[in-house]
Amino acid sequence: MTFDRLVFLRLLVGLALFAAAALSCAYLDNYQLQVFTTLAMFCVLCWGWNIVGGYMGYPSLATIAFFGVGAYADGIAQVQGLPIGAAWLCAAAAGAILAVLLGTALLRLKGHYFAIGTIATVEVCREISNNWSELTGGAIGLNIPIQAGDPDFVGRFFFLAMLGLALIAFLATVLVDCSRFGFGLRCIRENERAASMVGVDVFKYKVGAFVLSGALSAAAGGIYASMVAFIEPKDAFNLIMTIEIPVMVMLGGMGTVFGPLVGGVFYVVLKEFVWAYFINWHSGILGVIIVAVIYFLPQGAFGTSWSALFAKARSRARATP
Amino acid sequence: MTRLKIVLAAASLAMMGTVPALAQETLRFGAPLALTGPLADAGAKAKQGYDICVSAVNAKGGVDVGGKKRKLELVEYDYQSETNRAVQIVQRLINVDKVPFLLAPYGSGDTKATAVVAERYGVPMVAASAATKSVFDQNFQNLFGILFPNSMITEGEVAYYKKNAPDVKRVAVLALNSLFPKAIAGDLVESAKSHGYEVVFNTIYSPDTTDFSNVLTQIKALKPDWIYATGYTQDLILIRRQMADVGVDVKILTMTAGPAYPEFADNVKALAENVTTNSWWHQNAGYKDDFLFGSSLKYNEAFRERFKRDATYLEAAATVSCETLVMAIEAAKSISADAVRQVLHEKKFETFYGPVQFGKAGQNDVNAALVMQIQKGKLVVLAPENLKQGTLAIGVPPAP
Amino acid sequence: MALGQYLVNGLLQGGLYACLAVGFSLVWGVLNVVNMLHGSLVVLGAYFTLYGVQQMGLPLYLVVPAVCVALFLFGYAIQRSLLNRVMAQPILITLTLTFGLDLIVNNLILHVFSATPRSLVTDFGALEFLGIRIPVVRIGGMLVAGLLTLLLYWLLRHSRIGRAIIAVRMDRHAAALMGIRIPQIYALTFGIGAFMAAAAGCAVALIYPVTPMMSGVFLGKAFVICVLGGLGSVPGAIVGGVVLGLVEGIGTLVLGPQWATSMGFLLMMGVIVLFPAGLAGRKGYE
Repeated sequence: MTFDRLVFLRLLVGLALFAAAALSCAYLDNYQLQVFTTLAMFCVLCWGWNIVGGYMGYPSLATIAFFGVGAYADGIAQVQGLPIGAAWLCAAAAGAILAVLLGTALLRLKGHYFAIGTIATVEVCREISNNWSELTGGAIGLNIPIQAGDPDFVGRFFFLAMLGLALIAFLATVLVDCSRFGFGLRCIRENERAASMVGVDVFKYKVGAFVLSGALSAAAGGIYASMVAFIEPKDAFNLIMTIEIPVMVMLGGMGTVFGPLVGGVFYVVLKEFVWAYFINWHSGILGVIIVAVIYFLPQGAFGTSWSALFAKARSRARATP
Repeated sequence: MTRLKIVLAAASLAMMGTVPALAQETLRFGAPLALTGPLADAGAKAKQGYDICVSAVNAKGGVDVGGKKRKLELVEYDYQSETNRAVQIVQRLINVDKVPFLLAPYGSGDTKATAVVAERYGVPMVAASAATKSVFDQNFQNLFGILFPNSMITEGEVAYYKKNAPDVKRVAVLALNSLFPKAIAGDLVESAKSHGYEVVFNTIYSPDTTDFSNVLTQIKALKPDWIYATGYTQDLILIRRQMADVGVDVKILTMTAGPAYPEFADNVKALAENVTTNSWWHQNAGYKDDFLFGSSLKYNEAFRERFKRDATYLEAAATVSCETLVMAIEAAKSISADAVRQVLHEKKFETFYGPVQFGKAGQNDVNAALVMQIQKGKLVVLAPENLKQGTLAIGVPPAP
Repeated sequence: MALGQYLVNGLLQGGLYACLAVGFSLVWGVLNVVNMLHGSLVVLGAYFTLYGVQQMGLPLYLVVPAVCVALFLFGYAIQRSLLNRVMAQPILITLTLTFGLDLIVNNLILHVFSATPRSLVTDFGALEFLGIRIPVVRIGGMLVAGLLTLLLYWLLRHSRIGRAIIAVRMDRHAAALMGIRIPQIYALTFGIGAFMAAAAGCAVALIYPVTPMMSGVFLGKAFVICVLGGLGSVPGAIVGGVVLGLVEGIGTLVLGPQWATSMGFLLMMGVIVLFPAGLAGRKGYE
């Protein structure tokens, strides 16, 4: 574990941001809290994805499968009478278990096939929850016990809960980034065979990364389910979201510590802005923005070497007479 | 974070800027709408229903709140057919736009999820598109449903067919695996069994099914007299067409809810003949409405003049959800949530949609179930007796 | 005789699926691009067909080729202008780019054509033999789709352009060394993919009520078929399509229609894990 100045700086900046966010909840109204809770949720999903997709280079599209499984695990646990904290742990555990099962099956695959395998997982999970009515309520959906308390309390409660989870995700990312584990993941991304030759236990690392990612995503699903108090399959397993997550991380910079945060914030804010002003065209405009980002900033905000970009622009300007 | 605040502030300013400064105060209802996404079609129709109510109320001078007239206005946002966005929008409507009352989003699932928020804040919300009992099973005090329960519809249908098609004994049920279609099919199976029908086939199909030929071939082999199919309009269109492809002939074919909408017949043309359906409302229902519109027929005329087609129960329910809120406010002489909520729970509203009385669970329990059939390309009301326009034609045209 | 009917139903559906997927498979195999736009292209083809027949009153045999050619040009243009720049990038980039384009195209479709379902209703009836019914429209659709697929197959095997496309699929760098203009081939292949999507769209317009929301469903089927049949291969797409049609049909009978759509995905996952090269194997280049 290389605990150098950079890591320290990252921790400082990150913790400061989280502290500011936590304190701000005293001043924000409930709608803003709701938006920020959703934002924190996306950040958790992005950080989770980043471990598998960014550091390890495996383009997973199964994030929402974990999210949905976590949501249902939490819902079922709460319906059975477990207190909310325990239900969230159940959600995370469910995500971890699914990750182990899925990982052993899919992590042998590369590139496109891995991606499709993960998309298929989302579809299959959704259909199973749609059909297994005895467990999940099926298409009718699942009523989850509503958290007691007045709206202000509830808003802050879930905001802080999601923020706490985001903090865990952030710390996990920092740890991964500066540890041997993260180094191993990067090796796997660059050249898997060479990685195993260097002594990286490729299979264990892959499954480990998947489990970490899955548990975080599932926990986010659990908190979401408790917050919304009613989930149905099409809501818990939303296919569009599963593609938006990698896009967000790409915007911010894959395989970086702050990339997922920046990308997530930028995307959510953009979506709110676009959605408020361009009610009929928002998905089209989102598409245009995605295309533009891919062209001009393919490495994302944190991944791009800005100095190189400017140097290139400067030299081009100098070259033209 | 500051960026978000600026964006939100700018958005709210922009919204305020679009409302001209009136000497008259406005009364605003919050309306999350599905303008894009899979529910876009229904969302657009619901919006039309709301819009015509708002225009009619304002043409009368506005909402009379204890002597003072207020202009009625809707605060609308598109929730893109996504439940978590619908929840977020309701939060926004309550906290930022500070609307005193809400109109629910389209569909049972989204209604239920947003009802949790409305209940938490104590903001009365009227739902125009949720008929399944399970939506109202959380003992909420602030959720009011215009559509009466599915079971009333199925009871009405079964009773009618029992009397008017006594040869029909065997029924096959095919339902979409989604909240409302599955629930109403379940209610039909209950009603049918209790009236002595033999349910020979009872299956659910998953959303986005692209081929019904095998299921229909199975049904064909069982030779049922009556087929009851539920699903979204495009599913029902496909089922009807594939029934003709496979060569399934039945005495009665009931589909919920597609045939109630004009696009069903537009899409299947001749195959729509003699398909039966049900509804919560039809323009020939003959209800009187002294508050707005005058009568069901007059409502439909007004609707047709503005939107160039007949209104179905979907738009009518949306209109009446807005109307009952306005009526309740006028009766309560205030816009305080408690006062209006009490009126909503107690009063019986006489509207062009029929009598509306919200029961204990919040759902309208006045039974006005209609049985209808497409005859010669037009929807004809078969039951109840006092609204009857025609008699049941047995036999769906044989496949070409 | 029911068994025969079930089999025929599965095969008819499979034929439609094959046509749906062959363009997608070609693009993926040759360009190594997962074209998230494919579903929307099929829907676009369907809407154009509807427009041509219903609004403009033209006969089908004129509309179908016109729509196919129109979408070919559209696909060519998109690849040449937008996709060419990201060809060498990792798959997530190209996937996201085509996803972004799909959002744009889908939004446009929603705006221009609205979400209300539309159908092209014909009353050609059905053929019946040995107790099995086949609607004429389906046969017609299969014929058109089948003809075009065979045409594609012939093109890939026997024409210069076709050989060039296969060469690029086999080894991009060697092909470039042989003097093949790679960007041109890419654009052509993408155009052909769009052309086949349009052909599938025409068949779709004859069979289904068309809504903008179908693009996702078709894309999902295309994924499954490509995995089942292998990438970049016309026979593979046919095999994959037919297998999917039969599996869904049998799944409906054995497990019930609520599992019909999951069957395809479960099968796909099974194949991915057990046979990464697809059921038709790697050898099927054409």
